[in-house]
Amino acid sequence: MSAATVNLVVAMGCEAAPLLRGLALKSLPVEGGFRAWCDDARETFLLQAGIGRVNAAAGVVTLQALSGHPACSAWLNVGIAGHAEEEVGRVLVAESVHEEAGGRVRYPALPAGLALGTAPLLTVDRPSSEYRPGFLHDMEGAAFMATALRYSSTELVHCLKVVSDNRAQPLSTAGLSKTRVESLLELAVEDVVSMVAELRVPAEQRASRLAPPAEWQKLSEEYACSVTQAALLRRLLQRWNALFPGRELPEVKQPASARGTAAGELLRQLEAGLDEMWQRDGQ
Amino acid sequence: MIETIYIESDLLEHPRARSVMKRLPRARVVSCDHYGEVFNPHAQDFRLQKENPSLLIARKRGRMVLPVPPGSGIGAEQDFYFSHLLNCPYDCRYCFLQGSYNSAGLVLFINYEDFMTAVDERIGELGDGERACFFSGYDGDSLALDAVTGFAGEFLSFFEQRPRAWLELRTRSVNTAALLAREPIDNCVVAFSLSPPAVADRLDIGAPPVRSRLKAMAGLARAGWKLGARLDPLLFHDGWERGYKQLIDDLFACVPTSSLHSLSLGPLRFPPKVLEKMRRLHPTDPLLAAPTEEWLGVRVTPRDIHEQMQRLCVECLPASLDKSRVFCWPANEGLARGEQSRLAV
Ligand code: SF4
Repeated sequence: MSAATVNLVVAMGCEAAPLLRGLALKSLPVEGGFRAWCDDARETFLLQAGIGRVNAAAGVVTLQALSGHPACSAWLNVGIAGHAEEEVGRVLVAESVHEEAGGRVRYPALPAGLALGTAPLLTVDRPSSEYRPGFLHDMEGAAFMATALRYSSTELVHCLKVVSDNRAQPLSTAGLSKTRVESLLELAVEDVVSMVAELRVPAEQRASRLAPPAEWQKLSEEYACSVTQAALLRRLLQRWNALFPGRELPEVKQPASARGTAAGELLRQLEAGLDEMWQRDGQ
Repeated sequence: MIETIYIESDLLEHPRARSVMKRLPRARVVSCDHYGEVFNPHAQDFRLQKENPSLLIARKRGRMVLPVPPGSGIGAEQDFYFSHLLNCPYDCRYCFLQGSYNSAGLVLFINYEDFMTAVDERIGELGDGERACFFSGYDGDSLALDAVTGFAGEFLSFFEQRPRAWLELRTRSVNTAALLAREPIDNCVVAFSLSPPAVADRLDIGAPPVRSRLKAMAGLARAGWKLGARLDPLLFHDGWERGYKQLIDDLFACVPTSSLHSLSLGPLRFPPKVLEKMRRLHPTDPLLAAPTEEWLGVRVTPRDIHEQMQRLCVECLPASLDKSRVFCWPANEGLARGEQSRLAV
């Protein structure tokens, strides 16, 4: 399983179709009623969540599990959106995401060198022909973002929307046909592919920073560390590796089998060993 | 290059905000109600943001001027700081700001007049004969963004009229244009943070090289400005003896002692939680991984090592420099003990 994945969430199958082709994704077994796809390297995932906030949130949770709870994931919500003034077919990235229901606003930290235009995104519960001037309108973005931020950080969670309707070309009561949605999404494929590539770089940087030292898992299990002790151990091992790269850990004179106080003693001896080595060699 | 400006929506028409935005014509502008909506959320990655920081234009509310943490004075009876800027475009590896905020966004508080009112209030509270020093580079570099903020020009004109108040501009930048464009004022200390080039080149990421800072100091000295040299933090590294000796020689080759208002020395120091957060942000960094000791509630370079470095630096200072201009952190500790009770000019 990759340490960093890029996870895409769409609402409808007709939004997914052009992206599956563009990103060369293959079908995964249905999970929790959701259809999902990934690439051969299992580094890019896409899930079709269904329309609306509840589905978007559930889709993110499912995709986090499906992608193997990576150390770090970047998230991209792709879909159609209305906009009062923007031309139909224009591809825009959300610069702020507003939830109509709760009033909460989130501000994604936009990627460096983003060539696409940006606009605020308003997530509403019902399709409407009322447009708030200047805003994109969708039905998922705010819930997607709120949920994805539980697993990632604001630089790595974004919404990319293709304008599907505006005041001059409003939605008909029948909505848009699947073919029409598919052809609109077709216009965004290139942008999605490059955004996926761009997001992967910081996601990998973050994943490598968050990765625990190699010895951590084994030692924390051997010494039955509590959650707090495991966190301290991780930090100590990182410091050791930073100060003395490639050097063996100091010998710990505490048998791993002596449970209970063993973890505390391990931490004490490691810290003392680190201080001693630094005084001797590290300065 | 700043690509995104977030601005509190009621400041969109503020003349200072407009002039900042005019200086960054290519940046996209995103409005928000309060900068904290962008700056404060937890799910942010300081390291990732540091590669592409945005600018947040905001109004500072609440307490505008605060007392400095004890032990950081440079000779005035009272010491305060105010922060028109949170965060910094540079990325010094040991900068405590990265452990202090969730976001690397540069917050510019543009209600300068409210800072000035608060400074006047503090001046009004001074006792007879007392003077106060106002530090402006506590939560960011005073001059690094000056070309965008116009901070120095506005505050120099303000402080010029208030002789009982000192302004310290603290910087690792060489942005001295606003200072050189005007007559020097008596109650401003332009303080440059310095480390030996071998270590600064590695750790003062994005900041101008030390030799450029020394050159900027020389230019200011020639123009009549009072200078500060801040060997704070003293950075322990391979060859520190040679490095600091050479740095001090180079400093005094550029700056006559008569231009030096103050020289201060202090250990690398962090509040414990800040250090923990910085270690998480830089898990492979040996400087931050090195052992520390607790001293006055903060984590510091082991004291025996720090004291060796401090002693060497003080020994290297020229005899012509009045030692009462040398300040060691914490006040009344170390080699300049007891010599800090007055402004040294
Ligand atoms: S110049 Fe100062 S404020 Fe800026 S990064 Fe360096 S230490 Fe921090």
